[in-house]
Amino acid sequence: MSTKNNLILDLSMFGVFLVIANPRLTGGSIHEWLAVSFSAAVITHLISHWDWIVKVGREFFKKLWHQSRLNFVVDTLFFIAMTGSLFSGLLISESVLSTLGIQLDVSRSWRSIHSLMSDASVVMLGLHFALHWKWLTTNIERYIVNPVRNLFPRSTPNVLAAQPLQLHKDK
Amino acid sequence: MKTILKIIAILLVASVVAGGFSLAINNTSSSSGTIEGGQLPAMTVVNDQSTTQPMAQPEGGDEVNGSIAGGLSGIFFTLVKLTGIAAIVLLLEKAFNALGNRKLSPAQR
Repeated sequence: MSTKNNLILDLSMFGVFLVIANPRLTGGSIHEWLAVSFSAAVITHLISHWDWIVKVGREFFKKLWHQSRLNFVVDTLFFIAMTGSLFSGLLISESVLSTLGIQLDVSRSWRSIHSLMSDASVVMLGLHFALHWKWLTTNIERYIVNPVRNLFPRSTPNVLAAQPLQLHKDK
Repeated sequence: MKTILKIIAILLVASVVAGGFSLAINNTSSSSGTIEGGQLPAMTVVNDQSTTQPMAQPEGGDEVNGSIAGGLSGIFFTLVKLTGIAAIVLLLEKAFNALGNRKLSPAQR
């Protein structure tokens, strides 16, 4: 997957995560179905980084300290938190399971787990975010900020100053 | 590796994690001796009238009712949390890098 597509997927996932993390915004039913679709996005995200996962997973115990190792630990904990959140959410869900014709006797512990793992997911996303800060800012600038800036090339004085010959030709 | 195998591998790992959660909850509930506990919910099929159990009302029902104002403020607070966590990590990273550079500088001299 290209970097641009990765960025689009990641930003979309981030937006959906924000919505899922606040069920008040959408109500229970949309919250549940968005979470189901989000799990598919998580799988796509993991597949797009499969080579990195396999490579760092193999070399995990070889080097004592490395940035990739820290990333791997954070990402693993994030995966566990997300899986716990999605699985417990599925067990306590009303809309999704009733669509499948299944009813579950909901227990309080699964609700607690869902709440706990959701909070943990937010924390892990913050860490994940911070550890990929450079990649994120570089590519947001490259694929979003710069193209938007190029839409208005003459509105900024720096651009005018940088291209005096071009302006003369236009005249 | 084919994509389908990757998906199966991811789902397998996810099911192991989910199984771990189930085991942890079952052990916790059995050790505390509570009836309500956290057992994996017994599954019933809706069409089968004889085995259908009434569904428990969710706690904090108000929380899942849609409210744009509440939801947007929730998103704002989530963003604040994420920004705070990311800022702390980035500051720590900067501090560690600065420390590393200080340790290196006498050796370089």
